[in-house]
Amino acid sequence: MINVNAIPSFILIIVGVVFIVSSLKLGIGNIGSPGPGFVPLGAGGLLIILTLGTIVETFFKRERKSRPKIFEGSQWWVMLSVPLSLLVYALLLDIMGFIPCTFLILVFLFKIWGRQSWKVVLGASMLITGFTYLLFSYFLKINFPIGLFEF
Amino acid sequence: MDFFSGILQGFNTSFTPTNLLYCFIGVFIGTLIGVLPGLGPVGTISILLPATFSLGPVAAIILLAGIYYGAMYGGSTTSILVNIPGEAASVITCLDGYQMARKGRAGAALATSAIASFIAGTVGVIGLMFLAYPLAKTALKFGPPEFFSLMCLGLSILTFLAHGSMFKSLSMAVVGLLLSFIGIDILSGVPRFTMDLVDLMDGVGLVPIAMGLFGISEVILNLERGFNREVFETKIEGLLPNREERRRSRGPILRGTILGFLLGILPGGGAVVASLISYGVEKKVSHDPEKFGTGMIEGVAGPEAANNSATASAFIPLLTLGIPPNIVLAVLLGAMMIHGLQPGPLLLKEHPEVFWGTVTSMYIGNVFLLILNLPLIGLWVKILKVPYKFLFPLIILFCIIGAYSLNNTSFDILVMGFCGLAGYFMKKFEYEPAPLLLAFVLGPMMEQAFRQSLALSHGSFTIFITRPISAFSIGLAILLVVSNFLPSWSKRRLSISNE
Repeated sequence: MINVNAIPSFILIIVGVVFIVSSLKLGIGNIGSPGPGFVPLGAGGLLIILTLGTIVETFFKRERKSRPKIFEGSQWWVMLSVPLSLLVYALLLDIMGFIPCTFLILVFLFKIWGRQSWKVVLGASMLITGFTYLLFSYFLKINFPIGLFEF
Repeated sequence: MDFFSGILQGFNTSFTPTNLLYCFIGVFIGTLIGVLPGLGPVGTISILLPATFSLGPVAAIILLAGIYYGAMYGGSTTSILVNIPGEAASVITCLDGYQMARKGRAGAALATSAIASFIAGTVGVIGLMFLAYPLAKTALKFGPPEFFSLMCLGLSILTFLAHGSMFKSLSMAVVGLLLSFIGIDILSGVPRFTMDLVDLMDGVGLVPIAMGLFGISEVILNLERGFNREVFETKIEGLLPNREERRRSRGPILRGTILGFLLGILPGGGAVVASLISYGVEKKVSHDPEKFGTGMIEGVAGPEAANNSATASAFIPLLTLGIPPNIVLAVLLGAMMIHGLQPGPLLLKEHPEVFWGTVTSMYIGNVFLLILNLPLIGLWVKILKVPYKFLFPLIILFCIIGAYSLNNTSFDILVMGFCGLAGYFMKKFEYEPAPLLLAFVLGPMMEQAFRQSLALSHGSFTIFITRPISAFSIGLAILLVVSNFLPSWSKRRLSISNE
């Protein structure tokens, strides 16, 4: 049985330590004239104390759930597909431009999750891409990268 | 400018054709996203924020505020017809609203909800107008210690009311503070925690964090749960409640309005708490408390009045003190700052047209909402039937556009994706994202107020307890945090948050 709060607590403690070390490097000044690292130092320390509190609380309340229970019914590929598609979109956006990138991500999402025929997927993706480009670029004056369409 | 000329100026501003149009668009979008589960007002305001850059600040704030209170109206529709709250503040409406729909009284439930919302919303705006003006005048006398203590109080109330462990909620608030420190320090001009990335020099954006935590993570969770969502098939006829239902609704609407107004002002309180407490009050004063949950009109009228009244009064701390009492208004605060406005006591003095224009537009917005919600109920029901598998790619696309367009950088899309994943894990491990976001918005102001206070007192922490308002706020904040560790209070808090 693994303490369910062990992993997030470990991450939060690391975050706290990183902020404390970086704050000390920035300079904490003194109480009458606090430096740029003063408040982050305190906040980093507080995060560690609160995280230790969470660990102690879990221990005393004996609310230990096993990790598999929390992720019961979770599908890892579901969880990762959305952030990964956003990562790919962000990496390709400046190279390919808004229109092709948006079209591709919509095709991916509609096909994988909507399980529609190619005709519907391509038609819907094209329509939505065109509509959003018109709405946001022409009417709401938002500048999107042109990418491949730059000629 | 005195009170009455302020109101006149407000109506002059909000009655211009452009502002009327933006008010209408705001409440329309608000109702739409209230009806559609999966994209709340936080995400919507974030997405539409860049689109308001070409507008003047008054029109922009009128539109964004309209989304907020519009969502409160729309949220009840899904509660009544689908048993899924479109908005957190409409959770409790599911209990009796859905049962009324099952008994063929969906029309009456929807109409009661709309009428209660209209009355409470309007009364709330009147209260906001009368209270905000003197409070803003008083708040002009507040110094950094008062502001710091009030912000601490807001955060502690929010963490107190959050689900589950208080340690976890407070940890999330501290993580929000730490994230807000990233970027150039306002007082010394030194870059902090930027890892030498140019994209982090101006700090992490509010919009990508908000949309990641509240938009993308919700999409992932919904995909995991599957697409099952069925609209209760019923003919919506007899939209007006009958005489008996009208009689039984009066008291709950009145009580809900007053209760909601008072709870909405509290930092960290707001519409969700107001609707829950109103339901509890109605159950207590009812002659048939055992019938609650079986389709009692009081269970719809009271909470709906309370959440709309609270929505209006929540603007009081935002507009007069610059302290957002909830997450949606925290995002609205961010929006106001991007538009070059600093909410707080000086807003009334420096930008009276924004202050009065926003307040008076809420009267008009409430009228629009009544028109939108009653005759157009069929349209909202049709929208409800759009399958989620068609909806979620659009939600993701709008999130992408919202994140990108604020600074025109794809780095923000990465931040949003990361926050989406983090938000998913936070929900799995029962860490609340709300305290994180509120602390993130308040962080820079809190730090500045804290450092200025210490500089004023030459390093003495007693400055926070020698000034009455500061001492009261900080005392209450400490009491709330400490009370959680007393067994009897802890149980009470858990019962409130679990309700």
